Amino acid sequence: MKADRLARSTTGWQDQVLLFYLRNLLNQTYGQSEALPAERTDSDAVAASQPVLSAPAALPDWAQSEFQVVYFRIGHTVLAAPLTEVRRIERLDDSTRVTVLPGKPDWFQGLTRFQGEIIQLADTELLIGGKRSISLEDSHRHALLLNEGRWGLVCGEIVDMVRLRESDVRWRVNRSRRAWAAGTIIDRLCVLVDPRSLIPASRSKNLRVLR
Amino acid sequence: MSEALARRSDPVNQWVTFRLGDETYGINVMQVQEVLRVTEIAPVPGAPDYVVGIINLRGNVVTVIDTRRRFALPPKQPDEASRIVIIEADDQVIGILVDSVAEVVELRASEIESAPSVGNEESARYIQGVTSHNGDLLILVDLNQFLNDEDKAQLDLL
Repeated sequence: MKADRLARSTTGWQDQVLLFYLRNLLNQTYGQSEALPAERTDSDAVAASQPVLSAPAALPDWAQSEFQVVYFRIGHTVLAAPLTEVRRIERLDDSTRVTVLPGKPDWFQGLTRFQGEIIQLADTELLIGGKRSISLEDSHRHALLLNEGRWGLVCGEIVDMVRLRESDVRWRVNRSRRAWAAGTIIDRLCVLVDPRSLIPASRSKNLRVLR
Repeated sequence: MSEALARRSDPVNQWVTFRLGDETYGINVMQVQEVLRVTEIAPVPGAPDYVVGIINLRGNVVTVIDTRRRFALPPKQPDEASRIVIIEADDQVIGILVDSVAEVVELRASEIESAPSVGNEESARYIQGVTSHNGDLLILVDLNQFLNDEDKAQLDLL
């Protein structure tokens, strides 16, 4: 119902596509009954009336009974990230100097320094969606500095910070695709990002001092 | 005594810095033979696209590499500030064309951080590290990795 009200109040085909995606994401739940087969016996009918219990979603370790999230905008979309994974939020402006390294993927913006610390900047919008939807100027205003690996996730506006309970999120069961999407915040129909899974980690190294 | 030990465990090296576009790079001074103004560079038909051409350096033929192309930067016509840095890497003497040469800086090993490596990109090979210098970041290049074996074989054929 909330989704339908939201659908009527929003404008633009992009928002409709996003709502369709989020509805499908919500439908990836556990505990739903399977559809009844075309031909069934009475025992099948009894079994079908009982809820099918599948494996519960494996929650990230930062998903405690209560945890804080920061809502941030990338392009036209609002996402959320757990504040336990974010140690600092830095503002990006015209004076922020970004050193571009040759031969890196498009989502790797470069290196910058915040308070004397060298940070690797990752373009969040390119990481999750592959395409930029609005101008760089509007979409790159903050960096969420992660706890691990000296990474900064570049995003637009910081929208809000709220406290959530585990039950406020529809957790994803199967994260083999889009491993970075931990679940959907039900109230705001907003994807909750698992920052550790966002950066291509298999060959990603922390910055460290050479000896 | 402890000071000498500290110096040995944290050696200081000198790096020749040069500019390409908006970024500053550094190469180990021990590998730099000389720095030349851009003179006539003779093109070599059929050479790899990152080869600008060849020059005559006191009777020796030296291949000149287009560092911008090597780093996937947009091309730029050489100007008054451009320089050819003659380097020796893996017993091979080549020239690298750069936008300008800046200064020689001294860096302690402890001041250098390893470069981020994401994916399996080629730059992970030749970018040795990064360091802060005069408020900017300096990208340190490992010249021994600048050319891979295939590149070296191709240059040998020129």
